[in-house]
Amino acid sequence: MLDRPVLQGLFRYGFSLTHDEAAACDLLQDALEISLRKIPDNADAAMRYVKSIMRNRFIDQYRRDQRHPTVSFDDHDKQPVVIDPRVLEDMVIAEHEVESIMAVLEPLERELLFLWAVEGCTAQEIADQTESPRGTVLSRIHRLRQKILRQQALAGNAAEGGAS
Amino acid sequence: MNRPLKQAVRQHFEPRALSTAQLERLEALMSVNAPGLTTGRPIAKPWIGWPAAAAIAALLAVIMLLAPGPVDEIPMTDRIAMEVARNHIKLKPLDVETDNMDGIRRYFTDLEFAPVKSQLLASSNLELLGGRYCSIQSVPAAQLRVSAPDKHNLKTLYQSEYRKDVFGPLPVLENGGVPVAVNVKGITVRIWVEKGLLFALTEAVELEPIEHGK
Repeated sequence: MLDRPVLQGLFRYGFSLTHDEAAACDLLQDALEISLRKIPDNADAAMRYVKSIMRNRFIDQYRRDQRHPTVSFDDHDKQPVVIDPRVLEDMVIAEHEVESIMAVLEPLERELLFLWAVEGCTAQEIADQTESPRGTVLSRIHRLRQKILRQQALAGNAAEGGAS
Repeated sequence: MNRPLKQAVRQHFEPRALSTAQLERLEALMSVNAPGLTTGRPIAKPWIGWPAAAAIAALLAVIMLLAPGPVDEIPMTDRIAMEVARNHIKLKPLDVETDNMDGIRRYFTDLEFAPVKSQLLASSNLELLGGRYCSIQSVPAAQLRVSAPDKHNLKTLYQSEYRKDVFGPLPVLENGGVPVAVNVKGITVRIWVEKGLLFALTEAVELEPIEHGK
């Protein structure tokens, strides 16, 4: 059904949403408990099914969590966007910046990075997996790039300030 | 040192992995509920002869006899109580909020049993708050949250299909059985079987009055 590499992949996907290993494990277990009766026999379909349950469940729980009332999961941008989906490909990042950037990203931004970098998904594939319009995914990619650049600039200013 | 973003993100996620214990728990969850399904791993061919296998089996038997307290020797009621208490303490968000069993039954359609009211709790005036999917010892279960009439005491009531092959013998209410009470993590967990379902209810541990001057 779901072998260990698939379970590990789902766990990492859960970690991209939760940014917490214990919460990612709980999320995966919750999704398996819900989906076992309906899980498809085909391994790829089963993985996609469990992943979609993890995502929906995480978003439900996140919305209910009063500690984070300001995050929107409904940013279906209406404005037309002309964005090259490869804008992330040419970005470089310092080794020590990764953790701090991951910590400031919203769950859906980390998810987007995970799907793009780890699973190698295209913008269209991310749109299909997250059931979002492709334009929304491209907007998110654009905003994600801006956010990472801002974070890098902040880190650079802090380093210069600390050095002076 | 600067690296491409894609590589850096991959290296951020790659070390994250479920532990062996976590993997085994998830595999148990899948195997209990779909015993005919394999995990996709190829079946290994025997790599040793029968005499060597017999010698290893004998050695393992001796080790098992000498080893103190393997997990299987922990009574099933204790294992259920530990799991129930752990989840009760977490108090995870409810999947469905409802104050009646009809609402519960309408929501829990993916279970292979229908959640029911317990006769044992009929006179306790517990107020139903809602529920969420969960499992006990890898068997799918409904985790219901109830509160005492004073509203200050949240309790968790588990209901699961009573799988004797998994849970072993437990007191059956209809046969005159009395619920087993296990104290764990500061919580009393009462466990019984009723209407073909396993029930587990958390309660605050009753404190013995302290007698001064002794």
